[in-house]
Amino acid sequence: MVAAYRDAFGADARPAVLWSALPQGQSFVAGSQGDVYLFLVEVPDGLEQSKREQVMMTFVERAAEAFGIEVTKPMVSALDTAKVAEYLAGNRNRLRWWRRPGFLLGTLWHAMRTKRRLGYGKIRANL
Amino acid sequence: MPLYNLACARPLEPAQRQAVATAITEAHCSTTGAPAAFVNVVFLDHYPLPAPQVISLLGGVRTGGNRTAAIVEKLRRALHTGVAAALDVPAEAVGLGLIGVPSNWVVEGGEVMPEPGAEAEWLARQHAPDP
Repeated sequence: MVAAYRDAFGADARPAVLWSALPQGQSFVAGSQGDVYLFLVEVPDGLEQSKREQVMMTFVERAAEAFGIEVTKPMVSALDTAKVAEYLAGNRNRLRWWRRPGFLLGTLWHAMRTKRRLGYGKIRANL
Repeated sequence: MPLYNLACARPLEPAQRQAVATAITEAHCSTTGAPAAFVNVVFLDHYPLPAPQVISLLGGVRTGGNRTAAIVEKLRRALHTGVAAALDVPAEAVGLGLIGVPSNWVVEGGEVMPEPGAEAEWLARQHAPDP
């Protein structure tokens, strides 16, 4: 994923890659339990569409290869930085307000700890 | 896309998850006309939600095409009542937020997503036999 990002945005790009594994039984497609492979790629605001599509298709191919799945399985979103911020704020702001700082710190701590232990950062699906 | 992310105060029973996923899929498809195959629902547990909420839905939905503000508002209401009914809880126990995403910012099925209302051609390509 880092290589795919650097292919698109240059060798100097330093993306942070975070993974989240959903326990079985917590994802549904078309109303039935099923596996979902979701990739959210943050891109610069206003990125031109041709570049955005190139990024998304590269991630689809790399994800399919990495997980041994059909290219039709991954859902890849290339969202502007502002849209990612809207998502993150939406997720954070639905928590009780006094739990938000702990949520942020806990998420960061877990990502750093897993990065050190496993070589890649993870965020918790379930708190 | 859509992707509905449901934060739960406590883990739901499998049958409750199924009921909520079904309610969301039906609400989305009946209101927007989108095919069920597009609807993704994920559940996250142990979220400290503000009282009296027991579940909070954050949905990423496509914008543009035939999706007017009136349709989005109708969708919001259908989701709210559908999830509350599926869990047999009052409407105040369900939090809800929708975030619009341009359809061409998403790839699914190996292709850029179609605009809302223009799914037929996209689906026909998806189901066409390989040459």
